[in-house]
Amino acid sequence: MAAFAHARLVISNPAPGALLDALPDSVDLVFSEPVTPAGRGIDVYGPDGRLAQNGPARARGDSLSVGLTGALEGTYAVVWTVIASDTHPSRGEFTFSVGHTSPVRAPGLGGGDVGLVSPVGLVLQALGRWLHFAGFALAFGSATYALFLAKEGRPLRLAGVGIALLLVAEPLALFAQTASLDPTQTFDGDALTSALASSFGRVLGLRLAAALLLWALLGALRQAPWLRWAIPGLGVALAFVDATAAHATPSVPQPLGLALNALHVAAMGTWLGGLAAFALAPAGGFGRVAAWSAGLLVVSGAALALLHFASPLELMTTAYGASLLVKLPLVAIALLLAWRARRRWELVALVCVVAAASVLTSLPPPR
Amino acid sequence: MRRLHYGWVVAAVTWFTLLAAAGFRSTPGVLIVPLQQEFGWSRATISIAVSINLMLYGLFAPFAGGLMERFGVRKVVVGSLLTVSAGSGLTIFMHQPWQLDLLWGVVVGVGTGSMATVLAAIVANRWFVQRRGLVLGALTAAGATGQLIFLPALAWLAVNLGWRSAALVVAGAALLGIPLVALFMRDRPGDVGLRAYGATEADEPPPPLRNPVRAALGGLAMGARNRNFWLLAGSFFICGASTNGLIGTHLIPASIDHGMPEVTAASLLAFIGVFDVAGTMISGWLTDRLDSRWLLFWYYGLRGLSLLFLPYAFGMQYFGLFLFIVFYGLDWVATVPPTVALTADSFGRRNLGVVYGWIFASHQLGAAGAAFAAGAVRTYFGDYQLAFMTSGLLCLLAAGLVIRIGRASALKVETAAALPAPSY
Repeated sequence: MAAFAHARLVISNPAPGALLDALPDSVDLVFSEPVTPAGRGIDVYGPDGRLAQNGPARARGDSLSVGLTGALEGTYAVVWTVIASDTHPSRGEFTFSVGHTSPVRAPGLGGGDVGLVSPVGLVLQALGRWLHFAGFALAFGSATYALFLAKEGRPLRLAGVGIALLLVAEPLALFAQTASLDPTQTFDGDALTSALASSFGRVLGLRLAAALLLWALLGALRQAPWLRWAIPGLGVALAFVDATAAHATPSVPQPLGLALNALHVAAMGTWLGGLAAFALAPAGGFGRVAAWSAGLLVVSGAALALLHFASPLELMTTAYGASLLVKLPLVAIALLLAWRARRRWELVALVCVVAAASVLTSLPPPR
Repeated sequence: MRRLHYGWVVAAVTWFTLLAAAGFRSTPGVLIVPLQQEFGWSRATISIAVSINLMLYGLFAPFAGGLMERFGVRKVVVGSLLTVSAGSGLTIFMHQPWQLDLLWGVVVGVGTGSMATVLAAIVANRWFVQRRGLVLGALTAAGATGQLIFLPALAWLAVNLGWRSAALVVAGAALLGIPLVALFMRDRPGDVGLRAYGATEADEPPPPLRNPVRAALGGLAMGARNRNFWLLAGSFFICGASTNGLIGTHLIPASIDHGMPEVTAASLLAFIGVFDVAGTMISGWLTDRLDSRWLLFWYYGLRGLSLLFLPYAFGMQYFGLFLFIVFYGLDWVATVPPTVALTADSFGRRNLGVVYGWIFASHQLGAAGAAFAAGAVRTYFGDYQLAFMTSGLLCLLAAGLVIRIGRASALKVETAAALPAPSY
């Protein structure tokens, strides 16, 4: 079994590959953290290819179990799908046999996975996150730039685009969630239901709320210019919401981990959004803002990397490490372009950095 | 000693009638869980009847006005009370969902709808020139509060004596109202040899209503061409969805889900009823002084945030829920004065009645839709979380919509007369 974070399987009963004398009453799984089942949670396929469980999985803290019925001999396949409290889905599969082995017949098996999720799910997740980050930067970064630095309205149109991106990203993220667990169930009612009822659903609601609230605030600015102070505040709040859905940071108190993640996202938004707005309406003083944002971005990113990696070797042995190795040179290029004030190319580089970050945050970190 | 103008007697009778009618309209909310327990009907199924009830309470109003013009106020109100009594009383025999839809949905919906919005408007218009606004405000408060303050008593009946007792009490109360109305209600000041309160020789009697159906449809046509109409109707749709539709219908069942006794849960709604009187008064006062769009922006925005917070409030013992109730209560009817003011600004006083009638119909459509949708969410998802969050998001959308309503003219349009008071 792969040993990744994101709610990984710690103990299973029966053990993977076990050969038993009789069918046990239940399959019990224990995970590395509290989980909620996604969809049915556990599917146990009997040797005849039909489901051998007698109901949906029951969750209690870290464990998930499902009762079994019937007494067929042969190889059973177990496919589990869960959502961790950081809203990230993970899935896994293993087999055990009763009496003797037999060919495995399980429709949901063998989907393969990249980092505990199906490949199509990973792509959709990354795409959804990219749209969300881009939307966040345009909506809050450009708006803050327009209202505080440039003091003119043209970049606010970018904010409108950002709001649209934020809104579109959420349904995509929802389908990414169901596709990650089982691509054949991407549009399945039960799967969507349990995704929405989980912590993921709450984060989705809060993200949509932030986008709508920003839209309302932008409309109210004519009435009450002082409301412009609420916009960066809302942006920081959304960064914190994103932080709760980011990978948990072990070994430090949770508030510090949250703060680092929020800082990282907020700094990205200021830099990227400001750059896009700058392209539309150049204003003095942006150089300093960009420099500060970049600095905070690099520092928080370094801190997070240190927390998530136990050793530099993991950079090369894990998918998470590989995507970080792609992201770092892009960050260096962006910084170089910023230093040389080649703003258009800097923008392009940053967009690529965010794309790499989207893939990165969809994969499970080593710790 | 100066004799009390008879208009005040009529206003008092109307006030009690509106209070009672609103109470009858709101009873189904208390019956959702007992009906589910006795018949095994899902919340989605029961919510259909509530939706029909809410929809007819609003949509029947423009046509009830026509009935009152033809047959007189007294006859129509007595007929409505009989209808409500029959509808509620017959429910004790039912055993199929369609019977619930027919009796509580159609019959009681039409009966209470004839005693709501238009009755207040007609009485205030005919009997008062001075103090018309005050009378309208009081009648509005009756219609809004009536939907909430009887709930604890009805809930107590439903829990301790069975839901049939609550239905019979409603039927009996409607019957008791008949002699009161028959004795004291009069159609016009002229019937008792008076002019309207504060009227002088120069005041014309209000013109008879045009053919009500033609007038109503004409108002819709006029509104549909105007962007502001859609912004107002859209935001009011969301208002109805988030007040009567969601909280008014489902707060009791949702609280029961979280372990609260039914009577306590009904008392929460009653508190909303108490606070909303204060909220309406304050909002009316504010509407005279501040830009209505700005007020609505804050009302909808805060309402949306409070709904997003509600799922967490249920987990916080009762303190969070109490905060929610206080805030929501103040905000409950507060949206009405600014919405009416904006309608008057956009369409002028002469057309206010018909156009506002449709905006109010939109409110009730939202209420009906939300009552059903929330029931369906609870049935299929097992939890109201999604319903509260969606409602919260819709309210934030409404905040964005209202702040974008076109600039009103510099003139502050008088909104006193000719208002059909939206007692809902």
